[in-house]
Amino acid sequence: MKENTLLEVSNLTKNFEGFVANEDLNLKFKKNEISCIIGPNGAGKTTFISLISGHLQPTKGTIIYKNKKINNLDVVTRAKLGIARKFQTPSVFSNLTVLENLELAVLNSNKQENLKEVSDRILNLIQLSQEKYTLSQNLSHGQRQWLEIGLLLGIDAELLLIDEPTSGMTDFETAATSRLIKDLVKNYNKTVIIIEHDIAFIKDLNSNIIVLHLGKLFATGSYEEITKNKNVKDIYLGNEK
Amino acid sequence: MFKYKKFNFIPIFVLLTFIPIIFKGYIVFILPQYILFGVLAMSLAFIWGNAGILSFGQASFFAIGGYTFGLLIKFFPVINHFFLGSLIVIFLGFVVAVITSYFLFSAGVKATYFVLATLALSILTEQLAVTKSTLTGGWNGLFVDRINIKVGDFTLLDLSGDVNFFYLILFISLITYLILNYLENNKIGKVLRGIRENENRMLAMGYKTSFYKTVAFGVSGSVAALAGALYAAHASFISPSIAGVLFSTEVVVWVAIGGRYSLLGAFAGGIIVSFLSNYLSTITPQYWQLFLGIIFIVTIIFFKDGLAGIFKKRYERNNIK
Repeated sequence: MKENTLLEVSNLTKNFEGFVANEDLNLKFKKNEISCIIGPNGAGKTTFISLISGHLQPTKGTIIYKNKKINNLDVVTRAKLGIARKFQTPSVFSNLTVLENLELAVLNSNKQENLKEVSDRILNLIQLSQEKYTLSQNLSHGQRQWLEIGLLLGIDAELLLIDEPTSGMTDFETAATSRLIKDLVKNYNKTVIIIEHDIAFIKDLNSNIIVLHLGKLFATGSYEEITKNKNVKDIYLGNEK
Repeated sequence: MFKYKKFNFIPIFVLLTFIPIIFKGYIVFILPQYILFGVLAMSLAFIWGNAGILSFGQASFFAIGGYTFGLLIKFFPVINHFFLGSLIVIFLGFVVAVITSYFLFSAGVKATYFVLATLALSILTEQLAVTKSTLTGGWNGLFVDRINIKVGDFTLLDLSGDVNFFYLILFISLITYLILNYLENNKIGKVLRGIRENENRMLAMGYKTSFYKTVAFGVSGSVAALAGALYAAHASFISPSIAGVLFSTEVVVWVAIGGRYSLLGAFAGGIIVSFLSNYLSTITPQYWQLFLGIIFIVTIIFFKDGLAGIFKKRYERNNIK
């Protein structure tokens, strides 16, 4: 494993009683980079994220994070190692205020002595300073997505697994989310793996793209390479201009 | 957010302090037992309100505390000491609760099954109290001598009179409330509320939720056991029915009526509803349970946060004005 590789998976396979959701995936993710995973529904994108976060255990293969094999570690231990996940549907604490949400996250980091300061900094980053005392159930869908990203920052995770961050967002919110993610990588040393369907958003992120199809690695490359790939167009981007 | 919360315990405890000064006789004798029911209700509110864990086993810990305290006094006069007996009971309540809950929470048992497990604990405790009759007195119950608080041979507090015992129980109730309130407002309380709201998110943020739930249930068991010990000491008697499912259900009713999100609400619920039960049973022996049932149903339908919820809403409204 090279020094700048944060996460490496080898022959990663997940079999659900005969249905192969991920098959022999071999991938490397460098530190301080954004990687986007795309592919049609059922391609195994969320399964892949779940295998990394520990919500699922692989049938075969290895997952190496910071030079340590983490296959058998549970969700809690992986979170403590710095792997945090944003779910497809925003998963926040609906009956708590935005600030209370963030405090819960920061309380489990090694920055809990600066609770207020860290919470305020994250609130600024996710543009929810004005909503500090708002119950998170009263936030817009997009704001809840940001708050959930804020929770990952609160626990000071290094590897952020973000499942469909722009789902249900307005164009303005999508653009702001793109800026936020780029900022996290550039200024806060985060490594981000995103599952996304919005090709314009992916282009804006200027990230490495991984295409999954029927659980297998189909293609990898930059936005230009992927959008010119005839096979990818056939299986996924067919209708895109 | 609600500054009044910091000091809202003062009126209720001041009011209770004046009872023995204003009244004499039966009320001064019986009220401490209702106050202990209030403490038992707080023990449930601590886990039900904060972590969303409903337990039908609080009566079990109450009985464990009562029987243990009574048996210590009866069979181990060398530790016939109020403080030591109380400490042993607190420890035992914690250990039993932790052992019971550890395996359930570690195995990922969800709320409904946990309720059933705690229900089984109550039944088990009641059965033990009945079948081990050489120790417990079986259905006849166990008589417990009233003991004084001593340091060596010096009597620190004479508990033969009702007034002294009243103030002792009130004082311990206040301390218990302050400790639970402190826990609620610190990390463990926040984490428990996070678990109540979204346990999967807490796990994904690296919280070992089973640990926090187990500790919280342990604290709750300690408080219930201490209340049971003081009840046995005060009533000079404890019987198997105090461990049973019926009594466990009553505790849930007190907390639901008082307000499960508020320790003080639950405390008041325990006192008021048990007093009301007693009062109604004397004026209408046939129908008192029916009246109580109606109060419970009305509360659940119209005031789901209980009496405390009504006060909280009024406070919020006044603040907005």
